[in-house]
Amino acid sequence: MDTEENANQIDNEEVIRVTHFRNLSSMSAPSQEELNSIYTDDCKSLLSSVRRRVEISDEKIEPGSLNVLSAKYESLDYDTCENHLLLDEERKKGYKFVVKKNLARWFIFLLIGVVTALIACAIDISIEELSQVKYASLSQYVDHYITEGKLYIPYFLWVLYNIVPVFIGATLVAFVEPIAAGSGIPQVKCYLNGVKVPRVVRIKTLFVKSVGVVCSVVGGLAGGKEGPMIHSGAVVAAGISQGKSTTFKSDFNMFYYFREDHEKRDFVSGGAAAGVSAAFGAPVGGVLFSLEEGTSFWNQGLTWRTFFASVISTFTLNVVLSTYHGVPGILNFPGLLNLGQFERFSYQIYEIPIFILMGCIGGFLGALWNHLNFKLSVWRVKYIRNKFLKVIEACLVAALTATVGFLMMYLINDCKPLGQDPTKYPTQMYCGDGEYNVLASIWFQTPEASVRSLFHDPPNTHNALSLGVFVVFYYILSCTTFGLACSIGLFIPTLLTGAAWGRLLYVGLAHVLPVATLVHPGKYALIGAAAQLGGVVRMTISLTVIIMETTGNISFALPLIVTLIAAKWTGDFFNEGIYDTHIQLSGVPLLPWEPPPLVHNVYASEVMSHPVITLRTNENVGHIVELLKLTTYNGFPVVDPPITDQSEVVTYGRIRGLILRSQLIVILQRKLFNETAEYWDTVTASIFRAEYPRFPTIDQVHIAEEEKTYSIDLRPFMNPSPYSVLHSTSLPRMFRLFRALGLRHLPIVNDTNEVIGLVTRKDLARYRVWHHQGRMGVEELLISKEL
Amino acid sequence: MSTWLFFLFFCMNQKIISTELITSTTNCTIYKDNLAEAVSAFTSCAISYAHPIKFCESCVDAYIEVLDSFKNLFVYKDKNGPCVDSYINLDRLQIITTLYGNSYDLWNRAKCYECFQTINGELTNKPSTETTTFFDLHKNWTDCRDKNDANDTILCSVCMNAYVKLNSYYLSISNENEKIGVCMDIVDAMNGTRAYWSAKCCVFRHKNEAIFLTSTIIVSFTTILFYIFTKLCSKKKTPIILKQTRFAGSFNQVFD
Repeated sequence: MDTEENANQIDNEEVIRVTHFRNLSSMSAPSQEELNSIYTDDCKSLLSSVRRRVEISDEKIEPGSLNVLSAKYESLDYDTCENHLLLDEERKKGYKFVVKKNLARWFIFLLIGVVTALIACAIDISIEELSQVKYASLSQYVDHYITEGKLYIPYFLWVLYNIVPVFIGATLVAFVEPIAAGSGIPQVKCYLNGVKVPRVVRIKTLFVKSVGVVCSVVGGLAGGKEGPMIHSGAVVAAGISQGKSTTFKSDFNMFYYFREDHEKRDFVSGGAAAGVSAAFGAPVGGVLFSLEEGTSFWNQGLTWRTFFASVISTFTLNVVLSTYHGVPGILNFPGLLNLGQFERFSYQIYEIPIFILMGCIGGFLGALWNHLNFKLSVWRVKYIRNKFLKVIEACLVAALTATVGFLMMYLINDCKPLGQDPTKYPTQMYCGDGEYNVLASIWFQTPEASVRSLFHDPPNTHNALSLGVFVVFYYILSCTTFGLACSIGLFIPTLLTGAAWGRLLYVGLAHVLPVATLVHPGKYALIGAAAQLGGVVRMTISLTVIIMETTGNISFALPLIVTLIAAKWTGDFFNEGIYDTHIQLSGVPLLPWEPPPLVHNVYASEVMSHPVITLRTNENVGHIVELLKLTTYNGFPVVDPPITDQSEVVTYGRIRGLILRSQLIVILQRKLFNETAEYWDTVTASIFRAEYPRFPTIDQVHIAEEEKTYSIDLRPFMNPSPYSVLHSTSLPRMFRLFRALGLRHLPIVNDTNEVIGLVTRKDLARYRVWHHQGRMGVEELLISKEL
Repeated sequence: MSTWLFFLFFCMNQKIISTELITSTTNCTIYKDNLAEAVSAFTSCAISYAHPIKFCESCVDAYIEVLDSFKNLFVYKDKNGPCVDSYINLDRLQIITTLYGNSYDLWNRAKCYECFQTINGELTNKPSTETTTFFDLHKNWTDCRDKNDANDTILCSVCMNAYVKLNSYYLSISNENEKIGVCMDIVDAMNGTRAYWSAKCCVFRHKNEAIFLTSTIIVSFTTILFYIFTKLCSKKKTPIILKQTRFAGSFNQVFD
């Protein structure tokens, strides 16, 4: 970038000269004159460094590029701030409080499991009841009007039945809470990784998500309710653990000691696990999901509690659903997605190559799916930004789904006699009496029930033509659906596509090999489903375990692992998993499991943001207020005043601690100034928790002109021992420290312990590894504010 | 399989205790032979009426005989104790229970009990009302069919009424959503009828669906047009990159 031009530009705009960085001159008792100097001369140097940070370059990027990070995402504060207040609190409360807190923690995990399961039940039962009404009437209307040659009546009815719920769902998502769109897994993944995704764990999001998912699934979109369940679990956990709701402005005065990012993130990992567990009936899979997605800061106690929440969740769901299905006490409904038990499920050694091959096909199809969906998402980012357009798009896709389904059953007359296979709404179409149309039976049920029938229906239920056509169109439909402004997940449509081509492959194999050797088409349907899902989402351990648990077949671990590895490797050859693609598209600074390779020669001095804005241990109020208004930073190193006040010499202050924006705001709000010390209320650590999680902005804090001349002693509030590293530290070393401890700010110091820079999440996340077709490298990402 | 046997066994024991029906002079061999004859008669009957299925209607007496003779093994006893002890649960082959179980199983899988009245918990050979009504309607249909066998078009229009009545009655008694809830004789008769009807008359289901096809095409095109339209009509937003501040960059500033 041309620096000269920028400097000129700034000159023209304001009279601020770019000068060297330095701290403000010290003022113990500033006079009005000196104060003026803060805002005039001295402030220039401060402003200049600030300005340079938010400086806008001429460079513009195409929307939808993957190599840009968004500036709006912040980190969670996972690190505990060990200030004087915390020490005071620990001294006062003692071990009794620790015991109480531990018990409360277990109780909250119990609640998380129960509430998540109850929400899952509510969603499941509403979907089931509404779909039953919808499909039963559609099936009847089709058979009634077909003899009169008025097929357009049931067709329009179907379109209407699809559009109305989707309209409601999409309107809610587009106008009320856009973050509730999609499956929610990428957002939960970011949150667990330590990124504060705005509004992701609010009660409003939960409401929109739950209603939205019912609407979308009832609206017949190619999607499922599993992904949204995981998000719901996360919101439930974040909500319950806080004992208050900012939306409803009610505080239950419970669990106030959990009101910090550290505790909340732990609960959210439990909630996500409970969500997985409710969705798939897979408690172990749930724990592993949280482990896989949030592995950075993990401990044994948390794993144990998370498992507890998962098991409670699946148990509660089981009790409620079995009561709903009229068999209370017979616990046969561990999850929303019930793939049914497979009876005989052995495999021969010669089948393993077939499984590997299927894994490769799944990986390839998954990569293609991701690519198409990526292109479509970019299109949406570029052209479909208007909220009305988003709603219209969702409605059109809903209508298209009905159209494709109806045309398929109209054109392909695949008939099977009634009574051999369990068919919920047999529709005759052009079949003989006593027969039903196979495609109608697939379309006139929720996609989840279709997966089940593909897994369990006896051989010869589906013929090759109908399966083939179904696979192609459902693949395209599910690809179009994911990314709409609807809360809907991709697990089910992907499983369905995979199961369909797996079964198709079985039909093919049955022609080549003697039928007796192929035990059951369901086995191939399952492997196909796993391969397709693995190819799309590229999850590893948790996906294997989830599929193992939903089918209740532990002995099938090897084929599943082999298939999923093949699918992942094949898919990774072309592109990244769908969740990662969407995360990159929205520019979230996600830290991967490992630092990039071959970057030991990148040092902290290159990685860090350089002119760092520091505060002195005893700081002027007006200065702090201006600073908070001007910058967007959240952490400020607190330093000793520099030795010289000369503007011409670059000086740095010796590090004394680190203070957060939220702490400064609370201090300003409570007016904890040195000059007003006699009027202070009792100052405890709880004053910072009281405002959590939504701290007021600096504009909401009123500071009188006179108060701006006061000063604040930051020492009791700051973290006196922040992690800091030398400027010669390598990137991988910082990366590991950052990720393992869940840091938010890492001050970089020179040989004499003076702060010369600050490393944050975005500084590290901008070094990203790319893989493509067997080649790899490290790229440096750009940062944009408007993404 | 074993569960119902257990259950049955349990019931029988209860009965023995309550009624005290013991005759010291009985010889268990007779009851065993009775059972053998009943089972073989039933099996032979079942095979004879296997296709087209008239199994329930024709073999109900034989089946009742099997039930009674098996029950007798539990009811009577001779000097060695209850007859059942001499024949059941003695070895792993379990010939009597297996063969009895086969008959029992066959009868129940065919849901034959749906065809007959059950009085006081005992199966009788009186057909249930549904069965009688169904076969009356079925007879109407077959009569009509036999009269108009020559020409399909005539057959389809003339016998439509009989067929529709039969079909709708069948639909009302069978629960097709989950599983077939009527006995196998009725299912088979209906399947045969439907197959015949479908082959001859279902060709008339096809109608001209021009409106339907046009509207599907319109919907599909609207969707494609929507996407093209969005491209033409929306302004492009190009995010601007923030300049990052680095150590090296600050030196550039110094040496401006």
